[in-house]
Amino acid sequence: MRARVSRLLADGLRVAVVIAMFASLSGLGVSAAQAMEVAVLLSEAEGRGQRFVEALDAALAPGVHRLLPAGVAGGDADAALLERADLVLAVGHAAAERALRESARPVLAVLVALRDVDRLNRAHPERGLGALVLDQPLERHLRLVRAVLPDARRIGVLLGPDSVTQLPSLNRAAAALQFQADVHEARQAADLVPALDHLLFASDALLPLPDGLVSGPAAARTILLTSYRHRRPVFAHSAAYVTAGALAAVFSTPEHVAVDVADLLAGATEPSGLVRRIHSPRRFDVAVNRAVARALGLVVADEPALRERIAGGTQ
Amino acid sequence: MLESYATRRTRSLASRTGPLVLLGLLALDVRAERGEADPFFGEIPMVLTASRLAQSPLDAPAPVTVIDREMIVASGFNEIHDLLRLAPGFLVADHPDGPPTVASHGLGDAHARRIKVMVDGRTINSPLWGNVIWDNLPLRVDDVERIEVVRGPNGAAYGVNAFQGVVNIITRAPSTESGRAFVVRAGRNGFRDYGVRLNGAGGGVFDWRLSASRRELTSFEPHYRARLGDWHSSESLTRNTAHFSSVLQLSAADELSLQVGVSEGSSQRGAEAYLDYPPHAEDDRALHLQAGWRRQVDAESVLSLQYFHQGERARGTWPVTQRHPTDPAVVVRFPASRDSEARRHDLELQYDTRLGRRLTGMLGIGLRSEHARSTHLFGTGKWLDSTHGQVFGSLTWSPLEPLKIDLGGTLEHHDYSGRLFSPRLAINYALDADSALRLSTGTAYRAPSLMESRAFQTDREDDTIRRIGFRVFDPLQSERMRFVDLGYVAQLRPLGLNFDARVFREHYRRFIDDKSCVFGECPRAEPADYVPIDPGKKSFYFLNANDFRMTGAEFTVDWRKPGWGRAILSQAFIQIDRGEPYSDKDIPRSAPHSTTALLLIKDFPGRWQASLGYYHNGLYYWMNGGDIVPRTDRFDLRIARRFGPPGSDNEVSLTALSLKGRYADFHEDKFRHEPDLYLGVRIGW
Repeated sequence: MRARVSRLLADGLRVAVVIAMFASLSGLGVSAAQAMEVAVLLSEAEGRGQRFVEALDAALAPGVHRLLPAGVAGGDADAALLERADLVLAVGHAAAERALRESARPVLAVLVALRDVDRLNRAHPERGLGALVLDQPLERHLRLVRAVLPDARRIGVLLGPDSVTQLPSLNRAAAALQFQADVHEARQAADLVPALDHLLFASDALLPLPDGLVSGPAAARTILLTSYRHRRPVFAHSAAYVTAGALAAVFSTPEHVAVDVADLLAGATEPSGLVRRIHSPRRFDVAVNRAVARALGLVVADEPALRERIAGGTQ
Repeated sequence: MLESYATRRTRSLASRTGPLVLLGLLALDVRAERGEADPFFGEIPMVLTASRLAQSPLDAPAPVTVIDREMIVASGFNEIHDLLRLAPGFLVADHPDGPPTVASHGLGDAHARRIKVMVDGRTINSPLWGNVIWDNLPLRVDDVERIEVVRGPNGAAYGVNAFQGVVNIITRAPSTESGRAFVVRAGRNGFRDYGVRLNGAGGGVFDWRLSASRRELTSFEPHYRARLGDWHSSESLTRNTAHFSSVLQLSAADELSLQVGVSEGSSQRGAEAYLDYPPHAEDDRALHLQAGWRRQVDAESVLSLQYFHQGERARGTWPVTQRHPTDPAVVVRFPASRDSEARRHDLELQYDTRLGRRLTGMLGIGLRSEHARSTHLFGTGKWLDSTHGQVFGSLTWSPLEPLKIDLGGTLEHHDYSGRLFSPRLAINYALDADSALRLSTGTAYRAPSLMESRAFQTDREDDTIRRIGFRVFDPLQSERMRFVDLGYVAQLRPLGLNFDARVFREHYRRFIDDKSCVFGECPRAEPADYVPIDPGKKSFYFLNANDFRMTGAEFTVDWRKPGWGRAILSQAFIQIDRGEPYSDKDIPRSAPHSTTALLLIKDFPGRWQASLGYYHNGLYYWMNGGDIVPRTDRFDLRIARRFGPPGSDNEVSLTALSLKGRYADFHEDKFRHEPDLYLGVRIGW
């Protein structure tokens, strides 16, 4: 009798666990029947793509979607998996390019720049590529400037051939935050010095937006040296730029993007909800070059406080 | 010899780096031009490293003044040495018998040699006297980005001869300039100054600039001394300079730099009625080559290697007429000369790194060889050679957030002075984020220069010595200074105000001076072939003179209001005492009790700007050849209007230096410096 009771209790417990699991999945908005098979295609076997995958694996709720490795864009890719998966998660530009070329399935690109997504959409207009880009919302850049330099009113924005498309969004963001944005475009390397002299003449700070030209190592050297010559701080978009001499930057790491992607997947009921949209990163970090701040005579709050001010503004 | 050596080194460097240059350009420039750089994860070279950033005065272990580009332009000065009038306590003088001279807190003479002067880290003090040939720098004011002046001894960082101060002239980085520019200045007294600047495109991995200029000026007219009824020299100069500067970013971690400069020209000096120094022409040439490699090992570690060559050549011969003091019928004529050649080779390796969370360190080694030849100065036509080696290092420890302790020193072996160690301890304590106190103490040395070690300056008539100038009887020991400095620095950004004040005390020991003597009364027997026409004429010998004390206080207030302008006021008070009996009565009088520099910069609508410079000194004396300079109040005025695209350097300006006209310089009795009034135009395209 006692053994029978025990069996019944154990069966009941199992049923309860299964019900609880289903309940939790439905609470996340995803039913077991809607779980997706996600093929992960990397641009490179190692490096930041791998860091992204490991972070995504850790962040993704178990049993919701199946992450399946589809290989490396530059090497052997699992063509069959790319053809049958519900969604191809392309990590990096090369992976996105190959996925669009060789798979008919919906593609979500991550660790890519906005300019890469624009180029891919122009090359494959019928596909409706989805992406979570590395470009921060422009308002977030401006909030960093405000957090570091509360008195700054005029900001010089340096655009390049890629980032010039962001001009309308930039004007809106600047107006929303009551900045006067002086904007100049450098179409080629030779335009940089005149553009910088123009921008730094009257601006309180310089904001070079992410761009294939403006963000290059040679251009960065000119930008940083010229800005320092004018005693104007540079607000950048990568940790490397800050190490090189920018005063501060707001940026997202592969780990930040992975958690953002985990959120997107968890909230998605079908692949079509993820594609044809460009998502900005929600998670971000802030870096400050203290030596540059010191040399410019600036006192800058610590990074957690800056993050809080930026995030607070966003909310 | 000078040119061939420099050329060989240039070729050698080019041949070694040529393929690398090409590869670097191909690999990086093409990517950049195609706009394929990765904006978020791409590598970027460390650009604003500690060595490129001006150290915050809050952190500096020594008192520092930065003369920035705005001040340089607004001052209206067109000669680099004049810019040092803006540093508190600095004394600048010119005289028609040689280059201008710059001293800090007194103790200066025609060959002021107690300040170490560098251009982009390259020492430019002359190997002969240890002074700077300011009128023959292969560099113009337009090339200068800023000047960092350490207003006190800094032997711990730079070794022997960084004695009363260190001046580092930082040139404009080629990558911050593009296109071409033409600069012309022309004014009264035949002043003409034309220059061109050609730049690479900027924004590439290989950035370069070539600047060249020619200037003609008259700084002194012949001056009649009514009191003694004699005439003194005039000076008119013509100088041609060219300067090439380039930087190649080989990779994100490696950077090569190369600078080559030359300055040459003639000087018309002397006076018709001046029998010792009749009108004549002198020629000067200076040349340098500097090559550097810098590797960013990691975010906080830098390895740098620098080589430079410096060459100087002076030519000038004139007839001297001397009469016998009691028999005017006896007249002799013999040639005097300033022919000389000097060279320096310098190699330096330095490593900066972080040793712990609160500890940073720097270690370096330097080797230098110097060579000089002058029959007139040394009594021999042979090359005189000397070598120096040094090991230098510093540790900066921050045991608490507001406290920074800097311990540094340089150990060196110097051919003229043996082994010397210059240590320094500095403690900076941050009172808050905007202000700090500094206490520093240490020992600095100045080794005797080549002239002070080997001089035997003679003018000969055939095999007979008719005149002796400077000479050395006994080997000299190095000058030593022990110092203590207490400073306060504040940067009050909301008010646009920077404030820097300090008091200091320096104890000098074995001060190297020169003393005069007449034939037969000098400390040693005269050479057998020395037969002066006038035995009463003086010769001079170097000696370690007496000890004394210098006490001073100085401050700078720098106030800026955007849209209005800027005011920079510097004031210094100096007293020299405790040296009685002085070997030279001019020692305590060599520092004016008070010096003031005020630069007012006012912006007006329509891109107009006016600036007023006011420079005051109390009465003081230049030593050894110089003399009294009376209390002086000098006013300079400059009015400029910018034009062209916003941010461009295009402008037209009118500058008046010394509005009150001619002024007594270096020796009130003898010399009157001409004022400047000139129109300047700079056009870039």
